[in-house]
Parts: sequence; C-alpha cells; structure tokens
Amino acid sequence: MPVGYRPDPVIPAPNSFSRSARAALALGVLAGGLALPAPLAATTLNELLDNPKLNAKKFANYFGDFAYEFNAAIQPPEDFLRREKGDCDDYAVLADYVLGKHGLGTRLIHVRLAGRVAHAVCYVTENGAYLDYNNRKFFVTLARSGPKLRDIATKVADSLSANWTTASEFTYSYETHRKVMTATISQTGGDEPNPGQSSPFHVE
Amino acid sequence: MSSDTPPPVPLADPTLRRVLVFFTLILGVLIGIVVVSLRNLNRSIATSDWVNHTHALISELDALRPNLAAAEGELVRYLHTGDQRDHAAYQEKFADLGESVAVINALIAGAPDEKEQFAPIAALLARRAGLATQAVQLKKAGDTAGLQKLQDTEAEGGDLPELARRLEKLREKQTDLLSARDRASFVQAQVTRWTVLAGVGFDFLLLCGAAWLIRDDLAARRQAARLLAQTNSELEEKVRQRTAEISAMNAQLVAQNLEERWAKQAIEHQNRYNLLIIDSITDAVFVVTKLMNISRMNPAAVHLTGYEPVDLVDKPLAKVAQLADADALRRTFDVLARTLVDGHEMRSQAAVVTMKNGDRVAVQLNVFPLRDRDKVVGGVVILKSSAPSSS
Amino acid sequence: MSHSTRPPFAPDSLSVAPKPSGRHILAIDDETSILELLTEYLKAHGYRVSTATNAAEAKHVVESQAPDLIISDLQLEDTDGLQLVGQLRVLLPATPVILLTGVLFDPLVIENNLKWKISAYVSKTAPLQTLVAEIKRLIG
Repeated sequence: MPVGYRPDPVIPAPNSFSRSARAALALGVLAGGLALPAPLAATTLNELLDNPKLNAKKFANYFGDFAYEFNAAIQPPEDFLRREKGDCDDYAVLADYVLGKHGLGTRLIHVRLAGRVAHAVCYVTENGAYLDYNNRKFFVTLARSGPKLRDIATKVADSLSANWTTASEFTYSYETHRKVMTATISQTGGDEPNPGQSSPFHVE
Repeated sequence: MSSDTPPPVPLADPTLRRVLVFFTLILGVLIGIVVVSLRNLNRSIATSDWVNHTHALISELDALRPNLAAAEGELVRYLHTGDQRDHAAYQEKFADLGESVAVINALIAGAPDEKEQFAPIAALLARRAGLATQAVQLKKAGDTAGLQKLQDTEAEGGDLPELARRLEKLREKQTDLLSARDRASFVQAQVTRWTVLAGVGFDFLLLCGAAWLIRDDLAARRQAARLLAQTNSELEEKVRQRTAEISAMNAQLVAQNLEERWAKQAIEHQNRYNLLIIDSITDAVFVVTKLMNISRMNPAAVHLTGYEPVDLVDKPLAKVAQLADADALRRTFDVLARTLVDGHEMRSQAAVVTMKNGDRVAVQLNVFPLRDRDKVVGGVVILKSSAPSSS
Repeated sequence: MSHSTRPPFAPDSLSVAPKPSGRHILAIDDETSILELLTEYLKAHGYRVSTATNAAEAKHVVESQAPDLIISDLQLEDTDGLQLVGQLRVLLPATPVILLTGVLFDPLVIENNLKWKISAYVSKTAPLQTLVAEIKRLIG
C-alpha cells in the first residue's frame, strides 16, 4: 500500500448481467469467433494488490466495462477504479503500479503521435506485450511487441493508424504525481537512448 | 500410333515473337512503375516522417516558453503559499518542461546544427530550473532576504529575451526546413504521379501495339484460311469434274465395248446364217476370185464334183467345169473370167463338170459377179445338173 | 450431280449416269451370251432385267414378277418366238413386246404381218442404242 493513501469504500458497479450469464455469453461469443472480453466485476486497489494469481491478462479483464474519459492529470488509482472512467495514462500507470507490486517487469511508454494526442501503454516484459487501454473491450487485451522502445512505439502508432514522432519511457509516482522521462527517442533516427540520465528539471 | 496433341506453335513465328517482345516490354514497364512508385512511396513516407518530425519540433519549441512560464508561475505561487500541493504542482510543471527538453533533444539528436543551436537554450532552461531549486531551498530554509535578493537579481537578468531570441531563430530554421520538406514531399508525389501516368500511358501504347499486331496477324491468318478454303473447294470441284468426266468416259467405254460385242455377235450370226443358207442350196455353188480360182464351195458342189473343198480351194474352176461351147475351147482367153471382169452375168450356159473319178456331167452354168461398192471382187458360179431330177 | 464437258464422241445414252427407272424387262433368248450382253447394257441404263432361255422359264418369270416390257428373239430353241409372244400376251395383254430379228426374216414381212402382235422389232445387227431408244419410247 502506498503511503498517504486511504482506499475509498468499494462501491459495486451496476451490472446489466449476472456473472454466470456473462460468462456464458463470453463462451458463446468465443465459440462464434467474435472478440469480446470476459470483464470481471468492479474491484478495489487492495483486491488487485492482494490477488496472488493476478497477471497481466487477468488485470486487463477488470477493465472491460470501463469508459473513456480524458484527464490531463493522472487519476489516483482508487478514483479510477471506483469511477470506472479514465484514459490511457490512468490505465497504464495503474498497471505499472499493480503488476510491479506483483513482481512483473513493467515499463511505462509514452508515444507522441503526429497531429494527435499522445498515447501511453504499459509494457510487461514477461509477456513480451503491452497493455493498451484501447484494447480493454477486446478479447486480446495484450498486444505483442519487441522490447525496444522503437518497436513498441511503431506498434502503438500502427494500431492507431497514425505516425509517431517521439516516444519516451517514463516512471510515475502516485505520491509525488511526477512523471519522470527516463529515455526519449525520435522516429526519424537515433539509437536507443541511454537510460538513467538525471534531469536538471527534477527540481526540489 | 499418331499423336492426338496438336503440334506446338513454333517460336519462329514472327508475330508470336513480336507479341512476346511487346508483352515483355509491358511487363518491364509495369515492374519499372512498381519499383519507382515503391521507391517514391518510401521517399514520400520518409519525407512525411520528416515533416511530422519538424512539426513536432516546432510544437515543442513553441511549448517551451509557456511551459517555463507555467512552471515559474507555480514556483511563485508556492513561494507565496508554501502549500505542498503548490510545491507538487511546481515540480510537475518543471518536470513537464524537462519532458519537452528531452523530446526536443531526441528530435534533434541526428542534426548537429540544431543541437548546437538548442544547447544554449537547454542551458538557459536548466539554469532557470536551477534557480527555482535555489529559491525553494531558500524558502525552506526560511531565508527570506536571500530569496528576495535572488528574485531581484533574476528580475534584472536577460534570460527570457535571450531565450526568446534563440527560440525564434531555431524555430525559423525549422519553418524553412518544413517548407523545403513540404516541397520535397509534393515533388515526390508529383514524380510518382507522372511516373505512374507515363508508365500506364506507355503500357497502353504497347498494349495497343500488341493488339494491332495480333489483329493484323489474325486478319492475315483468316485471309490465308479463306484462300485455302477457296483453293480447296476449287480443287474439289475440279476433282469432281474430272471424276465425272472419267466416269462418263468409263461409261462410254463400257457402252462402246458392249456395242462392239453386240455387233460382233450379230456379224457372227449373220455369217453363220449366210453359210447355212448357201450350204443348204441343192445346186453346186462355187465362190471364185476374179481370176476364176475357187475360194469356197458348198456341199452340193462337193457332191457334184466328188472333190472335197480342200482339193479345189485356190484351184481354177476350169479344173472341174468348162463351157461346152466348142468355140469357147478355142479361145485364147477364159470366157468366164472375161465375163467377171466385164461385170456381166452369164446364165444357163451349157457346161461340163469333170468329176474326181473322171466322170463327166453335163450342167447348166450361171455366173454372177460379186460387187463391193461397184467394184467386182469375185463371182458366184452356180452349176445345175442337166439330168432330170429323180423323185 | 455435276455436269462435265462431254467428249465429242461420247454417246448420248451413257454420257451421264442414268437414274434407275426401276422398270422390269424380261429378255428371252436361247443364247446366254446375248442375254448377258442385254442384261449388262440394260442395267447400265437403270433397268431391272430378268432373263429366260426358253418358253418355260419365260412363263415362270411372267407369272412370278410381271415385267413392264418383254424382249424376245424370234428363233428360240424350244419354240417359235412369235408363238411364245402370243402366249405371253394372253397373260400380259398390256405389256409391250420387242422382237429381236435375226438374218432369217425379212424386216418388211415382219413389219407388215407382225405389227398386230408386237410393239416393235429391232434387228440384232442394229446397235444396242436403237434397242434402248425403242424401250424408252415404249415404257420410259
């Protein structure tokens, strides 16, 4: 549990179907070959952190019913889970936090697209894939990609049918609310950056 | 065993060779269009990437001063309020500024000129961040005087105008680059368009040429087929005519042959009946030549003379028959022969037949010349016995 | 049927293959060589030909398959040609008869005395064309 956080009381999300009915629907849809998720019931941060069997795929299943809402700032995790609304930043940062707590190797990737809003994903090293909030409603929630920043950025841009200009690897802390860019590359050239350079803009 | 598969078209056929050449050219042009278009497409993509790159760089450069202003604004707020939330906000804003600088550095990583131009800008911004840190430290230390002195020193400084000037210069260069890259992208698009149009046009001409060749060849082949069919039908007509002629000639020959055979049998019958008639006459009949030599005699003549035909044929008639006229005996010429030569008849002349056994028989002699188209060719001598016939 | 250029010496009767008329002719003669000639010539002109060498055979043919025309020789081995013709005309009164006359009969005598019994007479010495011309005149 992060310091300074008090999880809000869990308010169950309203469901239009019972859990068994949704599971049956998912099986029927799977047999029919369509890609629909099997979203799980609303949860809390503690439940996510305490679930010993949680992995990237299971994590993504909790967000099948979530809606999209753009926020410039990154929501606190409990707000995001309670409201079931958010954007790619909220999802990627939460995934990085939760899956990181479960010991998975996660990386936050920020991809800047030409003429469009930037997009953020969470790359899970063990899966060789990244979690993308745009894929939450699909059966396949993990998008496979090479580990290089360039590979991930290209894959993300292709999924959005757009061109990317720069991509950064960053870290985020719920405590400090600070996004720290650890490496940045441009599409037009340049090798993978050397991470770990300190920035003079990380002021006290 | 004969093969049923048609013989392969020989490649020596000039039209086929020409058509193959045309289609090879067409294929070559198509491949060329594809190669050039793909190359231009790749260049266009690269140019488009550079255009995006330049736009992104300009956007980030444009965002630097507002980000700095926002960060320093949050700093000022924090310095006034001392609120931790304001502190976090000012840190976040400076982090955003740092992100912009990192992005710009990434964008200009492969451009030494831009790197050289941006380095002092980054240094200026870093200095501003350093000053912010210094101010916060003074704030935390409660050194109000030091903080004030720092702020006064900063107010006199020329960081911001210098920053603005350098940013403007760098941005201007990017704008020029953008125009150049836009132009390059446009030119590449035009080149691609004209390459495709020219290639398609050329291919169309080649296709028309090939179609013309094929049409020409087909027309020639049709004409040849027509001529061949015409020649064949003429030949067949000639064969039919010739066959009909030969059939007619054959039928005519058959008919002629039948007529000849019919005529031959008719003549044979005629001769047979003539001989029968002569042989059935009871009077002795001798057929003689103009010189009165015997050429034929009937059975009555055999009976009268006692001679067989073989004894008398080609012998003179005088051997068996002479006129009884004493004067005729003294003449130096054969009266009977003279009669034939003159073409006269002689009837009922008294004559004597000397038989083989030496007996002499009185007869009546008649001579009739035989004429073939008014020419006397011989004669018929008939001897009637003068003795009264027995009943 | 194609029409060819006729050679100048080709007889009219066989310059073009005749169409079979299907008419039946009975030829009576005691000489088989004569009958063979007549059969070959008349068949070439499209007639169907039956032959008889004596009166009995002739009557048998007439009774079994009545001919359209009778050609008979005057001199037969077992009977007189005229007599036979008279008998056959009792059986087939409407059937024309052509007599083939040889060398023993005077054509003038035949013409004057026998025309009530026979339709035509043709000398054996006359060409076969003459016989066929008479046949065509009588039965086509």
